[in-house]
Amino acid sequence: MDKFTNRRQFIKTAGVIGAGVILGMPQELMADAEVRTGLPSIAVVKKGLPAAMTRKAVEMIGGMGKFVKKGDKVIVKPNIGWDRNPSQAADTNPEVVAEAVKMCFEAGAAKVMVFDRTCNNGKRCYANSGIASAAEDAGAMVSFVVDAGFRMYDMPNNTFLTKWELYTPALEADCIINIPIAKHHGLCELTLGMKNLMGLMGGDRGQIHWKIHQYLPELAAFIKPQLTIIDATRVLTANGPQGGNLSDVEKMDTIIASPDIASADAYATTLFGRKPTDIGYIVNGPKYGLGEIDIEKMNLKVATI
Amino acid sequence: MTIRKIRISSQILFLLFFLYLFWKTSEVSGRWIPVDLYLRADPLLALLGMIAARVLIPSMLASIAVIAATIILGRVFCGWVCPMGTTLDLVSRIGRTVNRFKLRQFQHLKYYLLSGFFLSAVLGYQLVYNLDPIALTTRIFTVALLPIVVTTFNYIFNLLFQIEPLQFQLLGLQSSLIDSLLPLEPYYFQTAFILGLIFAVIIGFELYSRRVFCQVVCPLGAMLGLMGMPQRLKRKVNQDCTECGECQLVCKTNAIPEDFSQTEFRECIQCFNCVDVCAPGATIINFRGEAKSCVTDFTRRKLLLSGVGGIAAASLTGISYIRPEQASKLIRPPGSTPEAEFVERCVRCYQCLRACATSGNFLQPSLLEGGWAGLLTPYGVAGTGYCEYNCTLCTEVCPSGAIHPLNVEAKHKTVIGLAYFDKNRCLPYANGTPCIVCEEHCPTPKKAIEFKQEEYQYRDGSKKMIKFPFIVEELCIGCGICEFKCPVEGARGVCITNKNQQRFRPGGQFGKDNKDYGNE
Repeated sequence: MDKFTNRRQFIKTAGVIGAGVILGMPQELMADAEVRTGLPSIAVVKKGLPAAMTRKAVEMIGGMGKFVKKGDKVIVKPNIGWDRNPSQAADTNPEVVAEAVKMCFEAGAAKVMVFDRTCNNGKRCYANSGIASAAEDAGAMVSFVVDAGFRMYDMPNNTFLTKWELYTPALEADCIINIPIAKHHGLCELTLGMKNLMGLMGGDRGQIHWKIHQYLPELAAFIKPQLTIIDATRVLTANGPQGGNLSDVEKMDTIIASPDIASADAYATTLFGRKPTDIGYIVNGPKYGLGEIDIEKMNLKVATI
Repeated sequence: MTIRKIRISSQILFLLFFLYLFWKTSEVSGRWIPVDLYLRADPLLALLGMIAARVLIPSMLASIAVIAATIILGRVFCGWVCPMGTTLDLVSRIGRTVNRFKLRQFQHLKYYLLSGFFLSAVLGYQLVYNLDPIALTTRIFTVALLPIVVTTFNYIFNLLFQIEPLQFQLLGLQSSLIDSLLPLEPYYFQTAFILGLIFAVIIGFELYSRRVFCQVVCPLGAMLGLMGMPQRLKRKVNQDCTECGECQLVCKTNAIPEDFSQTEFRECIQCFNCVDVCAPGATIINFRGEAKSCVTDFTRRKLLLSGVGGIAAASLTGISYIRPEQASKLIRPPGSTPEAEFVERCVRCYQCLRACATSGNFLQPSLLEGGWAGLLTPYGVAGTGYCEYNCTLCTEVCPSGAIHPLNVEAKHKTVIGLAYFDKNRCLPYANGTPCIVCEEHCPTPKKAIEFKQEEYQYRDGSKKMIKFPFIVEELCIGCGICEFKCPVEGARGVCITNKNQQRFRPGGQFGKDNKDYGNE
């Protein structure tokens, strides 16, 4: 009942949305309309089991049906970068990935694919992270990222990242659900949603690091994932992004979900005791049309289980 | 079912089993049998390896079974088991090869080669890896044949991938193939072409006459031939023989002379072709009765001369010089024995390369980086890959104990080298570009690459705080992922050498071993 404060506002909103649909209103304005209704644009769920928190967070921002339509081809993009096991918190929690896959199917997805361009040997990362088996059990098609899938994309709206090889199967999908794990990182300070999209890049990704705070928001603006779910169930606080030492892992039991990648990243910084403005690529986000990074101004909702 | 058909079935089964083990070599789990079984069972590699390295190699005692079989049954290994022999038989079947060359006068060459290899081993140099059929077969399969298959497949796949509607289906297909058969990364082997060429020559001869390699060159065949001298299972011809000569025509190894009732038993590989073709049924192979043997003796002088040749080869191998900068790049697999022993134990079967190619893609066959003594040995090149932190595959598949098996914990602590920064090329040092890719990939739990933050002054006078990476020597294990992932094009900004490398000493402890690489 807390979605709508009173009946009058409900009628008003319904009218606006109805009119919008009839007039073929651009989607951005529709999103604005939703914000005005009180549906949060970012949800944070704490203190629960990974799968339950994931489900609740997505439901709070409108449910998976808002992002995945019937018959859609959906890409679920976790971080499977490293040959580490789940307790070492270098890769996304497999339970979170599996739950997201299930929710996609519940929303009517025709096909859900899970992949990531790994840093260590792909076979090892897929197996050791537990993600391949968890996602497959949930019904997803898990595939390795192969060279044949990369194409050169022009990104005319960007200033720095104007051309790069990207993974076609991801870019041609109907919906991308970005599921990073929040981690410490030597250069970016933190690796979050935007950094996770580097898993769809081909070529020599090392060069991205030279202008990382410009490249990442530009990449996010080009790929535009429909939904970002940040896994902060277990978090690497030092020696990231790979870790390996269990004493660097902190259990935070938090899931953040938002259709806006910059807002999700901005909020996630607070888990590490940082401010969004500390991280260059988050600060640059709004310049590329990514959303709100001021936590005070966000339509934020926090819940516990 | 004739015995010949049983023999053919046996050959096919043993080749399939060989391929199965070859496939299993790169698998992380599900190994119920040693994948290096064929190599372990090779008595020639076992004997000369142990003599040259002056050690007992327990895993290779499996070869006693082959010796026992040979003493009783003759060269059944060559005729019924050997994967090289079966491969050649397959080629001659496809090419409908008939025995065109009468190679009897050249058959002695293999005994001379064996004599040379034996004496060089006595001097401490194991050179038999060059021609031993089992090592040669695994080597060719790993470095030449498998890459041909994989590259061809990838080529076709990439073509199909251009058809957009097929993309998602193809992706699933390739992924499941990668899961079971294909490697994830393409192969790079610097000796691929050479080995392909060697294979082409062996195959080429097979198109003109049968089992040329086995008759003329194979030192294992020579050894088994000599061992089979007192064999019990022998060919006999009775009075029903019409002297049609068919048996001589079908004999793969020219073991039947002009008098068809005789047999050169050192050459006979018990293929049963002669029994099968004999129309009156005059030819039998069994344990009973008297057999007519014809032994054409090799000359003692030539045997002596080839022995001297072996000694010469050993001596020349020993005096080859390794340039120090090359020696420092010779990064051996984790768990390797000390260098002098390593090069004598190593049979160049490339099981380790095969395992590594589907994991870190780090090991390469050397050319002269390790001198003549270390010719064709495996060493790590951070240009093609790196030593995968959690991987122990190469240590698990070595038949001769040149690489000692390590578990994951021991592997994590095994130092194979040390990284260093080239400050003229490393981006933060060279031109103030922020870059931390090496640190990001460093796999040790406490990173072996750290930063010091300092101000960098650019040409235009502006200043910026930059993170400058440096190596923590006590933590670096030399895995080379920093060099492999370094985004500097050409020579990298961070490189590895074999400084601080640990070698496994038989007896159980690790010892620092930086002095005894190269020749002694």
